[in-house]
Order: sequence, then C-alpha cells, then structure tokens
Amino acid sequence: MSRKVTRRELLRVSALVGAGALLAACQPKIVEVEKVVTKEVEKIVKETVEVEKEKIVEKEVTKVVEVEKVVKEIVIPAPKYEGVTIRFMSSYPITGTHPRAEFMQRVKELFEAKHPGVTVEMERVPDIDVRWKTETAARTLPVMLWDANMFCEMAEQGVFLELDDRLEDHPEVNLEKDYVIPGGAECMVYHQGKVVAMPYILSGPVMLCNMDLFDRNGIERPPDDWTWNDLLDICKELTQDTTGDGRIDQWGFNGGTTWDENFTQWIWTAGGEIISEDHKHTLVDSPEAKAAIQFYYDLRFKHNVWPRGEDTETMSVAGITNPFAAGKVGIQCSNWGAIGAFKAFPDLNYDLLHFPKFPGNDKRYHWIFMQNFAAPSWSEYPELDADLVIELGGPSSQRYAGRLKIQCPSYKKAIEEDFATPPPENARVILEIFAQYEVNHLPIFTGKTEWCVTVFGGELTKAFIGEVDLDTAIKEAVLAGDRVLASY
Amino acid sequence: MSAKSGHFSTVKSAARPRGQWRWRNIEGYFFIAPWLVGFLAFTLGPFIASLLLSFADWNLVKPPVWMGLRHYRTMFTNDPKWIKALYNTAYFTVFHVPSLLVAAMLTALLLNRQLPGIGVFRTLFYLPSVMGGVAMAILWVWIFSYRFGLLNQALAVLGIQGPKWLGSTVWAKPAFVIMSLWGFGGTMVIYLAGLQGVPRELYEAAEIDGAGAWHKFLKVTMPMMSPAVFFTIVMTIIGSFQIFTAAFIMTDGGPADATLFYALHLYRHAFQWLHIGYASAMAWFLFLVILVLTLIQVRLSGRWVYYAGEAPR
Repeated sequence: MSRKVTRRELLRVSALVGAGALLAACQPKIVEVEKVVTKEVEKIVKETVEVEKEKIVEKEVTKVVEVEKVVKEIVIPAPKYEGVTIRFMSSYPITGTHPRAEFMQRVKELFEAKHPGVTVEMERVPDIDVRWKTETAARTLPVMLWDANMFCEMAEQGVFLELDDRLEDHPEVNLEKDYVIPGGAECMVYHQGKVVAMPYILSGPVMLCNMDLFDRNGIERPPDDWTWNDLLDICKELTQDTTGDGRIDQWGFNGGTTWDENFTQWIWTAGGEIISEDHKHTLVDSPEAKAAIQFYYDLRFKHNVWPRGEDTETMSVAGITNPFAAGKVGIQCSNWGAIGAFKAFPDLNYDLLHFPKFPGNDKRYHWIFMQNFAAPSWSEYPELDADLVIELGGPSSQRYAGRLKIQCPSYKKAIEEDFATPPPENARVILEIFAQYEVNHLPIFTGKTEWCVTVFGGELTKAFIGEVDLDTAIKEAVLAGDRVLASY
Repeated sequence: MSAKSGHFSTVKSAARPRGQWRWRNIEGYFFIAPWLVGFLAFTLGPFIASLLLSFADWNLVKPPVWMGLRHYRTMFTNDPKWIKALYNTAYFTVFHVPSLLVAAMLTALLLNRQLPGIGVFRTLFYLPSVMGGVAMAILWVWIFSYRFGLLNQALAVLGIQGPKWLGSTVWAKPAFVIMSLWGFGGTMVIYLAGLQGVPRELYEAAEIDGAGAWHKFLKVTMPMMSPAVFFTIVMTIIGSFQIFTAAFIMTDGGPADATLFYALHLYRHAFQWLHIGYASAMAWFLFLVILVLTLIQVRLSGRWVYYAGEAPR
C-alpha cells in the first residue's frame, strides 16, 4: 500500500537536502598553485683583462692575462611573499586620467615591481569619512591617505604603525632635512618621537587672477606688496554687467565660507587668531579677526564684487561650475590644488598673486594643510604596509606629485624643481611664500571637525548667505564654538 | 457569522510521546533559525548595544567609558542644535502628515471609478512613490532652483515671484513638505483598496435616506476607511520623524540649520564626529517619542476607528 508523503515530511527532507547542499558549497576550493622557485645562481664568466703594460728600456712587454671571474648573477629573487594582497584606500581617484590617479598607479607599479608576489589593491572610497571609522572599529583599516582633521586624534590613540625600522632601509628618506613639516603639523608625522606617517602634500591658500579678464579691462597684474585696499579697487573695476540686462554677470572676486581655510588667511593677515593656543576658546570675535571677517563680508554684501548664492546657482544651472575658469570672476581665492586642476583648462590664462597685505601691516602669514599616508598598527603585513607608505611619500613619488601639480609636495626638492615652476608664469610666488611668510599648519585638535562645521560652516555662513547680520553671526559662532570645545 | 456559531469538527489530539513533541519544537526552531539568527545578530543585538552605548562615551577606537545619564542631560541642556533639530522635525511632521493623507485620500477618491484606462492613471500616480532616495532629491534641487526651477517658473506664469526655496531659512522646510507630497502614491494605493472594500449597500442605504455626496463621504466612507486611515497616520508619523536622505543630499541641514532634521543631526554625531554614545542616546530618545505618539494614537483610535465585526461601544 503506497503511503502518501505528508507536507511536513516533504519540508523536512527539502530542508535537509538544502542544508547539505549549502555545506557542500561552502567547502574550501582546492586550488593547484604552480610554484615557481628561483634561486641565486653562481655563474662563471671568463673575462679577458689587459693587466699591465711594462715598459722596459729595451723591450715592451704587455701582459695579457686571462682571468676567470666568478660572477654572482641574480636571476629573480625568491619572493618572500606569495599571493599576498595589501590594501590602500583613498577618497581621491585611483584609476583614470586624473593626476591623483596617475600618481597612485605609478606607486602601485613601482611597489609591485619591488615586491614580487605582492599585489596592492587600491580602492577609491567616496564616503571615506564613514568607511575609515567603520574599518577602524573592525580593525581592518588599510594603508590610507589622511588629512589633518582626524589624523592626530587617531595617532594619539595608537592607531598607526611606526615606520622607523623600515626607514632604516630607506636612506634616501630624510624627513628632518629634506621635507617641509610646517609648524603645528608635527603630529601628522611623529607620535611620541616615532615616525607614524609619511608626508604627502601641502595645501595652502592662493590668489589667482584671470589675466584675460585683467587685460580686457586694462588692469595690470598687482605688485607683490599689494594690500586689501588694492584688492577691493581691482574687484570693483572688474565687477560689471557685461550683457546690459541690468544684472551683474562678471565679478571681481570669489571665495568660500564653509571651513576654517576660507577665513584663517584673512584673520591671520589682519593679526588675529581663530582659536586660543589651548584650543579652549574661539577667537573670531577679537578686534583683528572681526576686522578681517568684516572686510570679507563686505566684499559680498557692501561692495557686491563677490557672487551671492543665487548668482552661483544661476551659473551652475547654466553649466558654469567653475566661474573663474569660465571668465566670470577676476580674482579667485583658492588653494594650491587649483594649479593642477587648471591643466584641464588649457585656454585659461591665469597667474598667481601674493596674498594681499593688511593695510599698515607688513608681516605675512600663510596657513598650510597637510595630507599624509599611514598604515594601521594592527597590520597583517607590517613590513609591506610600511614599505608602501614609504613608497607613497618617498622622494621619487614626491617629485612625481610635484610634476603632476596635484598640490604642493612636502619634499623640498620637489617644491623647488617640480611644483613651483611655470605654468603659471609667476609660480615663484610659491617659493617666496615659504621664504617670506610665517607658515603654520591650520590648528589641529580633538573635535576640530565639529568645531569648524559649527563655527564656520554653521554660524558664520548664516551671515554670508544673508540670513543674519554679521555681528550676531560672530557672537553666535563664539558661543557655539566654545560649547563644542568644552564638550571635548 | 461569528466563529462561535460555525460548525467545526473537533479532533481530539491523540496523546503523543514526549520525545515527539520535543522533536516537533526543534523542527520548528530549525525552520525559523535563519530569521532568528538574523534578528538576534542584526536587530536585537544592536538594539541592546545601542541602549548600553547611550550611557557611555565611545569614539570607535578607545573602549567605551560609562557616563550615566550625561548624554540625555546634554541633549536637553547643552545642545541647541538638538532642540533645533527636534523643532525642524516636528514642524515637518505637523505639515507633512495631514497634507500627504489629504492628497492621498482625494486622489484615491478620484481614481476609485470604473473607467477605461483608469489603471494607467493609478500607475502614474503610484510611480513617484517608488522613486526614492538620491535621484529624487537631485531632481527636486533642480525644481526648486530660484531662477530656473520649474516651480518658480510656474509661479511666474501666475504673476508670483517665487522664493529662494532651498536657499531661504523661511521656505526651506515648506519646500521639503511640498517635495514629500511626491510620494503619496503608496498611501493612495492603501486608500484605494480601502475604498473598494466599502460595501455598496451602505451607500445605497444612505442615498435612500437622502444623503448627499458630502454626507456619504463623512458618514459612510470615512468610518469604513478609518482603520486604513489610522494605519497610514501611524506609519506616516513614524516615517516623517526619520527624514534624512533628502536633507542630506539637498541642503545638508542648511541654510543656517533650517533643514537640520533629527536624523541628520544624529548622523553627524555618530559618523562625522564619532560621538557614538551621544548619537545612541539621541536614537533612543527618538524611539521613545515615536513610541509615545503611537501609544497616544492607539489610545485615541478607540474613539474614531471603526472595525467591522466589532461589538458596538
């Protein structure tokens, strides 16, 4: 008598079969690996050497001696690592024609040639701010490109691998003698006397002028010792309604407002500070800082030489994402990375300017922001990760970065001979900044990101978008900033 | 017909051996094991972890340090942006929920007809609600553009000078409310199903009693739809408190924190500033707020929600 299979029995058998199939599929794959073993080979080479000429009064004797020479011919070194992959992560392009991508690919090729059997897996991570935190928590963080905002905080907590041992094998790297490590940025390279990172590039503010716009309006390139008043005069001349529709469509100046980088150069030049030395108090309400911020604010709201939000939006909708390159702005307050970025605009005729002086103050200041490379202290292959970091920041890579003009390199020779070279015509301004200005890194401290977002991106930006008056914005910026600083 | 009057054959369960009962229980757990493991690992586990972290200070690298109720105190006494974020979120909820429900109900009433091609219209109205996230946010940035956006151009045709929308602290939140109406299709479909479930006899009885269209809607449609309306109110309020993607993409909380919503503020603390403990406290506070609001609604629902088959109150 045939027995009917119940639903329960069918499900039970299916589940068992499924579980069995799953287990079978999870078996490790057995892979045959072809092993190539190479070894050092000693090779005998016969070499004919002319040894000496003896000159004797009566006869000349030349001795020719056949010498057997033993030569060590290294064919290929037996790889120390086989099938090892190490990772690298950055928010910048890794592949393609972008200069940063070219830099990365070159480093990858060089490193892999020097370390046979090792592959460097480079990954571009757009949301790197979330990703590195997740990977840090999971202890899977790879070699990474860092900037100053979180690096020092993480270094304090022992996140990074010490490089001193591996640097002994790289005599070409002399950080103290050959690299620019700006004041205030020591923690970007050293922690408790040990090297924990290789410097990469330096960013700093730069004033760019659109020479075509200047020439069209009969304005000469300003002299190196120009002042804020000269800047204002030039901007007023350049701000025009070129189409006659009653709307300004060409401006003298363009800048940013959302980060400390946008304000610090003005405040320092005026003799002020943005934060106290102990990083406990926000100082944007000091008389000097207020004067600087007021001048900056007036460029937009009093003199109308700087496009406002709706003007930028209009240009953006019309496809103009870079008003300076499109000839809509005469002077752009940007950073050194613009020099490389403008290679994409071959028709753009621009030049570098010194940052204008504060009237009545001859002293010049300049902020720097550093990026570096570092490996995690829990690295599975610390030697390889350390070597990769050193390759990324080493002299050869620094010079290549200088030639690509990604930003300003940290290696002095690369700055002098590669980066600070035309174009633009007055690239010498870069070298003069290092020679003549007091150059310091932007303040680095725990909680800096939150503080910057609160003070500059939050409270001060409210004034620069016309939502509150400047005095209120500065007052609120100090209160909110101090609250953030107190919470750390 | 109630269950009590129905005829059911009852089978006396035979006494089974104890081992067989145990095997049946194990079988049951085996079948639900995948879901159970996922629930424990990815829902309950993180729930408990975040509750504990809300009483600690943790930045992902150093071990957590116990802080007690400090984060909860900070929220109320030392974080003006938290208060601003809560206000912004409440503002959005107050305007978003009724406008979405009204728009969905009106559209459902319009589409509740047997006309040729009505399915096409139902699909067209539903489609925007399945388009979510980043693409929609970018699209609306263009629509809200001050000089060239569709919305201001349409207003210009009517002789109205459109505001700066996303660039204005006054109009940024209303812009988000307007944008949120785009997704009423999901609620509309629920109402459509509810409307089609209203017995025709009730409408006929109301017509016989002389009820007009408005009275029929008020006295027949709405009571019969009340369970669906209650459900959508609860779900829409819960969803509106969690608004994040649009603000993150379109305005990043600006201008001047006008669109700094609660979830965005929480995200910043957790993932930008590494205040995991504080962000966990914020998350649990949000949970409590939503829980209290839901309980209030459930409590009040007894007065206006009618379930067919329930004994009269």
